[in-house]
Order: sequence, then C-alpha cells, then structure tokens
Amino acid sequence: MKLKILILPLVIVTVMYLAIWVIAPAYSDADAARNRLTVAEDKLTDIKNKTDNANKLVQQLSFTSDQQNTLVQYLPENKREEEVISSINSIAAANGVSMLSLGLETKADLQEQVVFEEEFVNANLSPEQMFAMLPKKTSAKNLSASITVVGEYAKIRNFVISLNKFKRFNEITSLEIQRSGNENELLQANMAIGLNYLPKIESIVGINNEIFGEGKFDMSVVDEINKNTTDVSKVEVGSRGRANLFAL
Amino acid sequence: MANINLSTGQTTQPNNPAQSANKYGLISSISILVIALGAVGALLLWKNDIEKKEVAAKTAYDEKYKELTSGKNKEVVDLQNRIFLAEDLVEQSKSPVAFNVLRAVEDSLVAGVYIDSYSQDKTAGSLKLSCVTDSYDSVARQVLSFKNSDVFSDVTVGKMDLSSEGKINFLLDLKVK
Repeated sequence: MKLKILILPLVIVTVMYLAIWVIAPAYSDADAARNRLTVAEDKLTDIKNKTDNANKLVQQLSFTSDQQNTLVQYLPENKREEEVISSINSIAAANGVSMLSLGLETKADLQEQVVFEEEFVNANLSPEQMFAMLPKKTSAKNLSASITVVGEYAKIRNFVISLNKFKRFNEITSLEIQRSGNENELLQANMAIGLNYLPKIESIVGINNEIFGEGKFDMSVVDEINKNTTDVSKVEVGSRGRANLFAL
Repeated sequence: MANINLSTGQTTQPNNPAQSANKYGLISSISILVIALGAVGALLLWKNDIEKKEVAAKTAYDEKYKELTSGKNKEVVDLQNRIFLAEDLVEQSKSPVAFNVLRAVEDSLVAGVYIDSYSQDKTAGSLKLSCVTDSYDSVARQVLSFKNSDVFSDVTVGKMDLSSEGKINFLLDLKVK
C-alpha cells in the first residue's frame, strides 16, 4: 500500500523529467536536423539542375566554335602582343597618322590575382566556404599600351574612333594632344590604352548560379561584337633564319 | 452478549472511493509514462532517420559537385565567364569616354577660341585644356559654354597670359561627369 502511494508522485516526476529534459531537447534536435535536411535536399536539387544544364552546355560547345573564336579574339586568353602591335599599326596607317612610339606594359594587378588564387586553392575549404569566398564576377587582366602618333586633327580623331572598333576590347584611358614642333597643322597625340585578356581557367573552384543557371549559351553578345567591330590583323612569321645576326 | 455472524454466503466489501481513485490514478500515470517513453523512442528514431537522409543528401551533393567541377565543364565555365565579361565590355565600349569628351569639346568650342594642348585622364575624370584667343570676352564665353555642357561638371579657369603676338593664352581645368 505504501509503495502504491509512492508510485504516483514518482511517475509524475519521471514524466515531467522526460518532458523537460529528454523529449523537448530531442524534438528540438530532430527539428533542427529536419531543417538541415531540407537545406541539404534543396542544395541537392539545385546541383542536379545545374548538372543537367552543364550536360546540355557541354553538348553545345562543339556547335558554337565560330562564336567562341570571336569571343576569344575580343577577350583573348593571353596578351597576344603581336596582334596588338600589328592591328594598331594597321589602324594608324589606315587613318593616315604616323606612329612614333608604341609601348606595352602588363598592369600590376596580375600578380595580386595569382597570389589570391593560390591561397584560395590551398586553403582546404569546403565547397560552400569556397563558394562564399568566390569573387562574384571574374575579372580580366590588363595590358596597357602607350601610343604616340603624329598627324592632322581629323586623322587623329579618326584614329581614336577606329581604335574603338578594333575587334579586341580596348579603352583609351588618357589622351593628350598638342602641337608637334612648329608645323601648324601637325599634332602629336599621346594616348594610353587599356586592353583586357582573360586567361583560361585551370580548375573550377566554385559553381556560380549564373554559369549553370541555364542549359543554353547566350551568344547575343557575339552578334553585337561582330556588328560594331572590325577584324584584328592576323600576324604571320614569314621567312626566317639568318647567318649573320648583325646584318640584313 | 457476544455477536455471532451466522451468515455462510460471500460478503461483498463496500466500494472504497479512495482505493478506486488510487487504482485509476496509477493506471493513468503508468499510461502517461509509457506514452512519454514511446515519444522519446519515436523522436530518437525520427532524428536518426533524418540524419541518415541528411548524410545521404550530402554524399549525393558531393558526388554531383565533383561531377560538375570536372571534365568538359571547365570549358563551359571558361566560355560562360568570357561571355559575361564580354557583355560588360561591349556595354562599356558603347560610350567611349575619350571620344565622347573630345566630341563634347568640339561642340562647346566658341568662335575665336582654339586649343593649343589637350590632356584628358579617364581615371582622374579630368580634362586640362590650354586655349588661345584674341579677347577676354571670348574667354568668358568659352567658360560659360563649358559650364553649359552636359559632359562637364566643373570648370576651373587657370592662368591667363597675354603673349607677345597679342594673343591670350588661358588654362582650363574641367571635371568630366
């Protein structure tokens, strides 16, 4: 009888203990796990869609080779200095200005970019952490050209316009025009031109939503490039080899 | 006189309400305890199942991630990057700053004034002009003309000198919008 009297409060205490210290935390843990599962499943669905889109994009690679060539010409994989020299020379000749000097210089930010990428790859981060750290837009490298041309104002003006139609992106960052010596009509123009290039990627360190967002390449930009620009000069080596290095 | 119970049949105990309440209370308590223990078990099983599914989803994600970041997908990423960047550059090249500024100066130059030297810097957003004219009135009209232009936000007049040929050389410092 005494034991029966004790059981009831003991059961009540045990049930309360279970409710507060076991059931509530267990439910909370299970709920948190359910939320994590929802997130994980959403991510899995997202990456499955991206993989499907990637497969479609891979199939399209072989059908877009002409457009890819135009893009690589507009934004090359490397500096392609020889094409810059040849093209600027052609543009100067076509517009009747004499080119007094042409210098090419790689901008300093190239080194910073390389260091950043190496640190990034060696950091041993999870894909999510790497994605969070990824720069939102890929940035191109800069190659700067400094040019001095001499000619009449109208010809220098046309030279400036023609540079903008060059089928490799360029931008005049500074322009100075002044009289060339005592010749009244002749002017000398010094200009700095920024040219971009985008090295081919060596590895994919993150999956951007934009890149695999659709299963089709949007090549409309190529039409715009073709419409507004003229071709880059093709350079050929020609004959080579010489017995005397110090004579023609 | 002594009381003697002569009854030979079964006697029924009268119903004790306290005992009955004790009995039902005990049954109810044990039932609640069993339910609570069942809930604990169910919760643990549920959590275990969710965690297994979560691990499976993460493993599947990692496999898909590896698949997506290897093979020909590198070429896809490279091409997409080039397309996105080219789109920005094409947009940028639609309004070439150097030529726009040159054309704005052409449009703003007043009669009787010509330029001796022109220096434009896109990064600093500045344009320095050395101009020549015959009269101070032309200088004033030229300054006003640049101030009225949509391309320039600020016009600062520098030194004005009268040359030996009777021409006025003046410097202008303009800010490009």
